[in-house]
Amino acid sequence: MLVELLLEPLRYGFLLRGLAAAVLIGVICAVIGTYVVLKGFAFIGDALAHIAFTGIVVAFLAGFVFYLGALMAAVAAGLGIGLIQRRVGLRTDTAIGILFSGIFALGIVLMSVGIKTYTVDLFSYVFGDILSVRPSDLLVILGLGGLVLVLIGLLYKELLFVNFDPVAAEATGLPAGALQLFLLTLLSITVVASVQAVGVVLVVAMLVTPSATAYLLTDRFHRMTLLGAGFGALSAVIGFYLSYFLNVPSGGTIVLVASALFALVAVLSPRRGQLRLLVRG
Amino acid sequence: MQTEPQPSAVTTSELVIVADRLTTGYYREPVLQEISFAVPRGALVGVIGPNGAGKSTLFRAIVGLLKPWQGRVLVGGRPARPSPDIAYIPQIHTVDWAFPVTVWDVVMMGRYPRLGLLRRPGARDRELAERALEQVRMQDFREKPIGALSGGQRQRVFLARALAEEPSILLFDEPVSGVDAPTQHFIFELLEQLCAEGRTALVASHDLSCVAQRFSQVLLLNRRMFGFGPPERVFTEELLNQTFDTHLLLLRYGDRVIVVESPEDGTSAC
Amino acid sequence: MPKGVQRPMARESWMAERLRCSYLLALVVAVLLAACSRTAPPPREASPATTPAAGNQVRVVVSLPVFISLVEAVGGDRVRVSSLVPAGTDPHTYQPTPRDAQALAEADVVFVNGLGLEGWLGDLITAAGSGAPVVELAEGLQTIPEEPHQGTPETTPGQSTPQGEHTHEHGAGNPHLWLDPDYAIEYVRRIAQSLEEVDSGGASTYQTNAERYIAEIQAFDAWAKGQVQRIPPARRKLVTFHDAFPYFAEHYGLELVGVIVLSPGREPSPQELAQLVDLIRQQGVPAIFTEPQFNPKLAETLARETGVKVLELYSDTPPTGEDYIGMMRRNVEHVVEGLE
Repeated sequence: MLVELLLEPLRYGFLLRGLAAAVLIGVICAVIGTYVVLKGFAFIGDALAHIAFTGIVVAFLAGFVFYLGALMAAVAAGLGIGLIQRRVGLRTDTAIGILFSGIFALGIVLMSVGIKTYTVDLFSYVFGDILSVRPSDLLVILGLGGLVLVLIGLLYKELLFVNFDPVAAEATGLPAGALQLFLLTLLSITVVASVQAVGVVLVVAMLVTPSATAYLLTDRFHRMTLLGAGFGALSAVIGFYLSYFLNVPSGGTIVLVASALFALVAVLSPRRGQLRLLVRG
Repeated sequence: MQTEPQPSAVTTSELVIVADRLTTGYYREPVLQEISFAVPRGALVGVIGPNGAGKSTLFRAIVGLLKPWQGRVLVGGRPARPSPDIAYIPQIHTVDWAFPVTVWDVVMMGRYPRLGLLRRPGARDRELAERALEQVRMQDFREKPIGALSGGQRQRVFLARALAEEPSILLFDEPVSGVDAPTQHFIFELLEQLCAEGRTALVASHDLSCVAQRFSQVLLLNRRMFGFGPPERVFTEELLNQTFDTHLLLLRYGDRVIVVESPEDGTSAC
Repeated sequence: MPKGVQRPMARESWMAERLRCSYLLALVVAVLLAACSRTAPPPREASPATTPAAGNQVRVVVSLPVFISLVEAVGGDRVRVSSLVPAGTDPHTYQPTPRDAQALAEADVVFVNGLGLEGWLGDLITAAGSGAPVVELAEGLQTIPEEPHQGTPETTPGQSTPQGEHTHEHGAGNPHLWLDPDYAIEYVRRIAQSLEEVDSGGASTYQTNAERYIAEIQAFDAWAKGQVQRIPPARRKLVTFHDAFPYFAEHYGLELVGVIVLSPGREPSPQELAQLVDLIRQQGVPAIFTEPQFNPKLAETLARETGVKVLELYSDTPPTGEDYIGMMRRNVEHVVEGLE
């Protein structure tokens, strides 16, 4: 009976693809989200998503695949942000704020100025469209996401050391700067893989919320990564089914479920003290 | 880790760190100017100066994270560059203590640079990490999250991570600030023992009241070098006042010297 | 629905009252115009004067590109027409530019559709301080309630909601009346009448032109009805991107099975799409229709799921170089091609 209910939406290929994309994105975002949460990169993730939008607009105007435009814009922005971070001067968040709002605004203006005949509905990328994930999109998400997961797995110990204690790590000869840029590049790739399904606005939630929930439950880094991935996938599945049965849009519902899981864990967690640490640090 | 004692190394004057008219800093502002000194193998060197004197900058130059603008820094006869052979223990406030890692995870990080890319820690790495934990008497805390440790325990864990790295040179930045007296003494006993075994240690401190006597050599630093040599020769009222640019009171009780800074400086006496 | 569009008859007294108490609006206009003069390219209408008598031509501003050809057909050389919403942009979510305020301020007459389609327009007209009459082309015509598909029966399309103070923006009925040629003819009559009121010297021209264009529309309509007859009755089923085609469907005897998004900008839920997939399969709908101003991805998703064709229909913007009749001809051709 329950099984039938759960199988009901999966009779449709596009819903199956949507669910698969949501789960994949939930897992990938949460894995990279471990670093985003611990290093306070949420704002950077937000910036990258907005900049990716401009990349999409430019790609459309120039007539090449939107993934390429988004990827180039986001990776360039990620490297730019990495360079800003390494040069003090302006506060980093201010510099990033200027950079990303400017570039996003450029995307909006380009969209209305450049597309004369018919405005293709590029705004759908702002809110995402998980129900129109094509088989090719799913392959792209799988490919980019798999790349991110494999690279993070291979450099696990180096990334851990560099993010925990960058000065000491660099002193031992680890390329801390390069690893930081590498991490930002992976973040950019993740954002691009996610943005067309969940949208510019909700990518940040998928990056931050499941990982933050995991943080409340463990004090081991690898467990935080795995638990975060679990919460990301769980939010995707529950949110997807809820949106089907309650007849509401999927992207928003998935994020709402992730937020609800966080709230639940924050209230019930035996390590609620961690919440204080997270808010403070 | 080199366990065999090398008393000969202490007596010979093999120079492991040489700074020759070193000038360096950040952006366009020089922090250190014209620093020259030479550290023999087995020395326990105190780098003493007020906050902002450039102690951490000097360490970064010795580790090779900062390039000399003028002059040079030689480590083991070669220009300084980052290497697992030099363990740099930064000030504990530079690290995010909310990070979800345990004592064991942190000590294990000391092995990462020796492992190289893609290699996982093996039995020998675990053995070395275990021994390092024992050396700092933290073996009972191995599963504790680092956020739950006291300041002194954090310093011990950092020291254990450095030991697991099997370095020949240790650079320890402010190991006694915010640390209880028993831990201070424990850390210095361990450092003395390590130096007796042939390692070289540089310890930065702005607080010289308790530890001053334990160094084999002292470098007085405040953007320039104000003195370098054995403590009994360098700890003079004149040099200390020049270095700290303030009025210090030197109290002598027999062979002990106690230095008291003017109270408005806020430096704690022990 | 904004008042400025809603009550054109009370416009002048209302406007005076509004303007008296509103320095803020004046400020808005000033800022808009200043921004325009600095950032926007020179306006299409070069005449700087703001009095209606300054140019020889009647300056007409319409809300949607599709109305340009209707006004031009009636006005001929006596009018100069510009559209606020640029070609290929969704009027539901359009964001006006400073130049729109300027165009409104300089207009002699403004034609809008009404019925809540141009929700952003009321504030803009207020802000622009335009004294030109604002004519709602759909005002008072019989409407079909919105969302007649998916369970809601098409009952009593007769009574249009009164245009009162408390009317909800979407309660007024589906606004896309012009896609039914009979209503388009009514639009043409209203355009002719309003142009006469603004420019009495051209009355006979307007009358003649209007009659000629109405005849053209009627000729097209006869052809179109014949074309639709080519579609087997069981296949006369329409699924469109948004709810723009109920009048079109009713006029040509097509059954409107469903729409992909209930209103533009509103993300459909997975269940809504699943139900639409079921409907398309059960009813054997041969094709689904997108509109060029919307992202085709959702329609492509449905097409991939159900294996039907995707074709385009035009609602607010005629294809380049086409007038209203040309646009409608394309629509009919595409419908026949998709469903035949």
